[in-house]
Amino acid sequence: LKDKIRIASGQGFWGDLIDAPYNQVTKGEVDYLVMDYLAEVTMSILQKQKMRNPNLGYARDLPDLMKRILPICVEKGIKVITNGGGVNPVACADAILDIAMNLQVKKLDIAVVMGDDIRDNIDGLISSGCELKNMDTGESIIPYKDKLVSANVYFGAFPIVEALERGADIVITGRTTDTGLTLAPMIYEFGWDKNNYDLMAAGTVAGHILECGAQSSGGNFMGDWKSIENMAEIGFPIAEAYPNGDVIITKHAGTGGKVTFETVAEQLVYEIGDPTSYITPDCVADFTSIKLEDLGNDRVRVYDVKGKEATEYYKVSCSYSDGFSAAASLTYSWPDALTKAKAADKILRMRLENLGLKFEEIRTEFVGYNSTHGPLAVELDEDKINEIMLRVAVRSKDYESLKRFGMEIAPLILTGPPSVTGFAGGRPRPSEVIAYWPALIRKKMVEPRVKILELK
Amino acid sequence: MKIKLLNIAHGRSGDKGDAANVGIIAYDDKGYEIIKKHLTIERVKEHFKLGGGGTVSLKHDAQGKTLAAALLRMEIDI
Repeated sequence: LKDKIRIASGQGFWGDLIDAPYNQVTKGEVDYLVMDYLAEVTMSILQKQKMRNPNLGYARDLPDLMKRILPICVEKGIKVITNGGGVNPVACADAILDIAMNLQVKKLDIAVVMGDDIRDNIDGLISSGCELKNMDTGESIIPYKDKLVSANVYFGAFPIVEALERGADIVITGRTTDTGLTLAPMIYEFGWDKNNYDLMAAGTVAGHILECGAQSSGGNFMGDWKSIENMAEIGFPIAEAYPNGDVIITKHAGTGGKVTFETVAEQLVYEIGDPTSYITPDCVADFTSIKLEDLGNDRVRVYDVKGKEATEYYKVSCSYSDGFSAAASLTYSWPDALTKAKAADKILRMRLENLGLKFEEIRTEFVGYNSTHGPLAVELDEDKINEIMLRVAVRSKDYESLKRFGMEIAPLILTGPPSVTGFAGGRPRPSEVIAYWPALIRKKMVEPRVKILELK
Repeated sequence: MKIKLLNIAHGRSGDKGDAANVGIIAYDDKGYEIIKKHLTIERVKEHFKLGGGGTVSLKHDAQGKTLAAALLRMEIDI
């Protein structure tokens, strides 16, 4: 058993800085690289890709990234844990094995965590009495079951722990909690007891701090953001974990950004529900118990975290198609930019009405004035406004109404208020609205499976 | 005396399912006491009441990333 491990965050979401994982494994010492790729919307996109091509359905950036970092990870013994397997973790692992073979890596064990994808088993679950009731509304999923695009259970750290125990160098999962990716290596390396909920909570909190990448090391920081140096070369966070549950959040020396009490605190309060009960499959962490100590030099100690026993349930996230939306914009210049944009909106709405189009909602925002703070925006002196971007978004079950909406934008340039520009890239195209269905499922109804693929 | 929340606190916001979450952090103990006393559920409700409903997905800021800044606009009478 080790007396310290360093876990590096490589991605905060699919689409994050491409070079971050490379920098994490080259600019200093780390033992693990963890990467979160899956937002809720990602699962439905991946499921659609898999329907078109059964070999897809995972984060396609991942094989390219592995081509770059695998030789380094093998040489240094860095293990990689990621949920980038999406809805097809086996295909993802196969793609990485191909790369390893081409790179002439001699030995590599890739573990795949499966069993989270329950989309094809919904009928079976329903017939055994599990109606996957919507957590917010209490409604049964039965009327929606044939519309489902994706349905995934959130597994926690333990399938990954099993993978590590079975010798995995790389662990590819489907839908795993972001926090489980970081907690798992702590359980494995320190031999933590799964019933020690304070330790489970300590690792979970560390995972929450790492899961959004540089958001804990100076990115998107609302405090004194101007004091953050060299954001261009921002260092992603690293959790230096100890067997007693203490974790020091830090980053590689010489990288940009900053790790301070404030930068870590902002991430702690981000995207949590009830702070006293942060529920994961592994424990229920009490975020109000967390203590932070700024040790200076980009080191913040996180300690004294308290946790409670996990619940009997896994969370399930389902998605289904719920109509279409489209958004369009035009930019009006001084003088009277806001008045012009408002007039154009009125004209557009009248034309849409005269055409008899069906929309569930039409939303108008004036970028440069109120698109972020709505009615809380301060009134502006019209003469001091250089320009305003009119943004109109619509939602409908009727695809044809949305298509026609797209045809009504450009004409405003020649048939509406003057000094307008910014209509480039053609007509706005309708995109599918994906609705989410959060539910709970008893843990005994689903079984995570770990499969080891060896390099031959 | 009126103070702006922005001058005593920072924060971060984002979406959590269909809801949004706003976290506010005081810069010091004095600020924390002010927040504890004045940043009540009622005050926050009143502040955002103006925000209106509608479908989140059509918003320019569909993920509520700028809500923390919107809350820091609040003026507190101390």
